[in-house]
Amino acid sequence: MKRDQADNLPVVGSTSSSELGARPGVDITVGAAGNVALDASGMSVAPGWRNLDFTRIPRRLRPLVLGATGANSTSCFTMGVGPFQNGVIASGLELIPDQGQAPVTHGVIAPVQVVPLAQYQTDLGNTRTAWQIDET
Amino acid sequence: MVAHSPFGSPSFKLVAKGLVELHRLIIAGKDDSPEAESVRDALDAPLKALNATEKTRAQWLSEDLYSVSEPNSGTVQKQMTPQAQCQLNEALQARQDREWDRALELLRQWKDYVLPAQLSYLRGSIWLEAGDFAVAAAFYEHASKSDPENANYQAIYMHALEKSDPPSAWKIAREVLASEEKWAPVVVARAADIRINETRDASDAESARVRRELIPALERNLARLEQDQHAASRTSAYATTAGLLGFCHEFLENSGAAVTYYSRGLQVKPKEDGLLVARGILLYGTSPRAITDLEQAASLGSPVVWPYLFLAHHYLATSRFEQCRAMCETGLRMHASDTAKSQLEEWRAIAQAELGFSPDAVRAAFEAAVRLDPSNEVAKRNQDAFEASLRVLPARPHSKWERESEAAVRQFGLAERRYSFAA
Repeated sequence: MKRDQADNLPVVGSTSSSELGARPGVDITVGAAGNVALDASGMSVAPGWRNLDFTRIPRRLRPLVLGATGANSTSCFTMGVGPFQNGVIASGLELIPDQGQAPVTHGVIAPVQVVPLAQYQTDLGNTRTAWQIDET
Repeated sequence: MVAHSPFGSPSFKLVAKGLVELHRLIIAGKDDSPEAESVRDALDAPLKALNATEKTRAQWLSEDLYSVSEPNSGTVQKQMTPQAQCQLNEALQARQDREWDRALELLRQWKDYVLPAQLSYLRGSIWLEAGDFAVAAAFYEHASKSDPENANYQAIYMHALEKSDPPSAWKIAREVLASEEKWAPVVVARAADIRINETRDASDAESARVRRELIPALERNLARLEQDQHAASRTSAYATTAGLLGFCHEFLENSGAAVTYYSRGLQVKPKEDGLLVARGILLYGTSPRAITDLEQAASLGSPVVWPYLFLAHHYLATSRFEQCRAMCETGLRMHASDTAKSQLEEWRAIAQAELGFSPDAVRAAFEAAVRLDPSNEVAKRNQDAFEASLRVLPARPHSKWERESEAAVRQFGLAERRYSFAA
């Protein structure tokens, strides 16, 4: 995610895939009434930064990840500790790992209930201080 | 024309193209731009569709592209050693054997022993043969910029670019032709070829105008090649230039001049099948040299349908039915229009009937001819004649066939290949 140089925390937003937030219609399904849908859509996350696509990993990390081509203005962030499994991770938000064979390398942070899109974005934004840079 | 076996799924091809674009933005200092972000977004889905081999290949491709986008990043040129030479030869062999991953891997291991331009050229050649023209163009462009003195790099770059991004290739071709004296003849010839291809969908008037415009430039190019015995890829550039001049004149219906230029090209490159086919078609029905040209092109394994089609007609006309049948079958394996294939099926049917094949086999070939080209009235009449002959006792599975004249077949060939010579 894009790093705010002022405090080294992620930039909150919903216009880019590199921001802390979800792009309506791309990351999160939004119904006609403006509420989010509970269809396992949401902001993409991975169990560890090395599981991210190499095009998302900043290219300064090329010595660690072959061919990394992410922007150097982004950083790899981590939130919380514990296994990458289904469960509530913050107020109004839950982690939903992808279905499929282990090891699962992708999941989404989805709303736990039907809420207006703005509420979901606020809930995501409220996790900002819980994210820490992890590129080791 | 080179036959390519697939090197990666459609998703891999999308990823490769996106990586080239991403590295282009890195070179331009725009890797943090919204444009780069949309390239990364567009790569999300195809990246997920890659299998493990393709994912590793994509990562290595990105790594190799850094030699283009971030050159001189900590690499030190090493003196060639016998071991390095041996391994690099092995890389070339792997490329020849179409083991592209292995060829690329060997180049990576021994890259410090190869000059950057040469390394990019070799990588470009592997990707070109693997059928990924966008990646090939990226490496060739780097080779050309790293060693601008090597005209072959520029020429092959333009070729790969034409395959991957025709409008950009057209632009460069125009620039080259606007200042032809500044460029090596091999580059001018390539530019003229691209310019001709650009008019493939243009009106006849526009195509004729471009060809008329190109003729003096190509003649100057030929003169330069005649004067400069040391020009880059002289033989190949000469044959291409002469061939293009022949093609321009053929299009403008100056057959005599066209044959002269094809012959000049063949003087320096006697086994150039494109030139043999071109001259063979123009002379078909008027000179026995047409047959020797076409037979030579066929024996060289020409990848186009024409030598086989014309020879099939010739063998049919001279009652060499087994040879006719063989030519039809080879021709039918080539890329060709339905009209051309219909013709081949019809002649195959006749040859089979004459050779005593079963009526079912003959009938199947006639039916294929009519199915491929419902307007092939001669095939319909020949099939009717064949069916009628079966009703006569004792049944004779052949008849007096209606045949196309040599002039008609020549006209058909000339019209069909009018826009495809430079392919």
